[in-house]
Amino acid sequence: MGRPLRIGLVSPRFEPVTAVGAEVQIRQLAQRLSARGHGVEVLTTCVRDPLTWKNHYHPGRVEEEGYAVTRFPADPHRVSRRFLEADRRIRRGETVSRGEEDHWAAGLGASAALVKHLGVEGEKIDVFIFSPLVCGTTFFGLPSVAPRSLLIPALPDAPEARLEIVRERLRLAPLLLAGSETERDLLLSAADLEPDRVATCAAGVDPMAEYHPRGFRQRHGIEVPFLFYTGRRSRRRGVDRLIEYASSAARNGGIDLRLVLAGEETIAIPEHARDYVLDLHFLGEQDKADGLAAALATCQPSPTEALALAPMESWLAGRPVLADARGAVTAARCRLSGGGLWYRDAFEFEEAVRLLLEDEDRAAAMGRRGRDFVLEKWSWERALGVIEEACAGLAGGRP
Amino acid sequence: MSEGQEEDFGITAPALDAEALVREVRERVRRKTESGAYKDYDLAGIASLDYEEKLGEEDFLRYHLQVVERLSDVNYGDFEIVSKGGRFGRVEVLLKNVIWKLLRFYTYRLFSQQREFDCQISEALQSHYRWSRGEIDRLSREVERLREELRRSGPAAD
Repeated sequence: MGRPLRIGLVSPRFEPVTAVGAEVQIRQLAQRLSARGHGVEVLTTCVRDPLTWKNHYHPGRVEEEGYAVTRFPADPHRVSRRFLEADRRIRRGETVSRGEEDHWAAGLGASAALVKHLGVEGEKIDVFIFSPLVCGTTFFGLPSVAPRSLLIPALPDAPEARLEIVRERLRLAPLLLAGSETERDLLLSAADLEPDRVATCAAGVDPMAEYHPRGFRQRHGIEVPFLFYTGRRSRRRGVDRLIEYASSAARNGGIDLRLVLAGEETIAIPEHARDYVLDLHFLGEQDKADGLAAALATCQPSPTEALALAPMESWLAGRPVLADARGAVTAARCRLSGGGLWYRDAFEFEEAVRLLLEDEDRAAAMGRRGRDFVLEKWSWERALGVIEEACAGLAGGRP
Repeated sequence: MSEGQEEDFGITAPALDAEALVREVRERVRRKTESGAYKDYDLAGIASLDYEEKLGEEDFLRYHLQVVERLSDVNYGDFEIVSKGGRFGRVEVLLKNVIWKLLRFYTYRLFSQQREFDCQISEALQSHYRWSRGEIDRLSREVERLREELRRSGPAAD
């Protein structure tokens, strides 16, 4: 490591327990960069609930495990009819005017107090790391400190990626870190950037010290084989499709199988699928790891991905991954590592499950191959090396 | 699917060709389709999913219902009034506490009635959604069953 730096991590939320990839990553970065001797300050909002964006925490600065967290109130009166209309049109992929984009961006958890702080106190920090891109803290915070900023966009291939405000912010940051080669290609093409502006190693994953698959089964009363999903549970992430496919494999295909869901937000589980789906909501880190190790496989149903951490955590737990073929990141990693299978419809999903159930040795071998792949390409040690080098370059000759 | 920089890595676990396994999966599906193994499958849930994806509206409905549910339970109770420091910090807190107590006397009844109304409306919207969702599921299955019956009753039926 070079000289210790003063690093500011800017994120819309900073929660002790979260299933959102970019937020997990910011917490990990805070812990790991401070453990390596850097002075880390997390700059975030008082928001806890990403649906309401209401201020929950007290504003101010608190010390946590070796780093500081400063919270600023999120702006009130976020939602207006104009915002909702723009949000709806953008999510549908319709063309909107630049004015509508600005109005929409202001509604995504912006904090004028945080932006003002960056302008006034920003000089005390050597380098800022902003993540994710599509949120108010990055849209409005980045411009004031852009020359010393590293951007981790965590940008999925969704309609937002084609907005002008997104392209502008991508061009503002001198260096971007992508979560995969697929995301890197998207960033380069979306903003027409030179290839050396985007590096691929925005995150890392490390194995837990231990995994207790039997303990997980006992705690949650699961005796039959199960598929695991952890992360945001929304239609956009393909979770409703996963529920239908898994329940069809059990109901129509006669496979003794359950789908176990963990993570943020809720999704309506249809009546005909309820016997086959177990919803555990939030799990602690160890419980989640135990679940990954106990599962037949972890599912990645999302057609849009940026970091795709859950499949990598599954591989570290020694279990294979079952990915939707439309999700370019994980399907490509399955192909490359031999650590998982991918499916295009409910029938292929069912047969892939049968194939995993038929031969446990093969399923375990797939898990091991995935684990080797992650340990070599996606360890935190490697990611931190890339991030520290980038930060040192951005800090330049600052004292 | 290009993962350029990720391609070069060493693996110690036994060799496994994931592409060959996926080919095997697809071959099994092809054989089962030909043999009619899937003809009795109840796929109404998946069929309605495809239909909904084209509609795209339910995403917004679900999202906004969740937001309404969380926003309806407005907290109008006491909250901690803190000082921002300065010479008159304690006086400021004292004054704000007095103002809040006065305000609360006049606004409590209004706010509590409004919250009760909001919670009832939110609950009504949620149950209306659950009811209509259930009905759509039931009708989708019925449509799928009738289609299947038509298919079986003759080649010209579709």
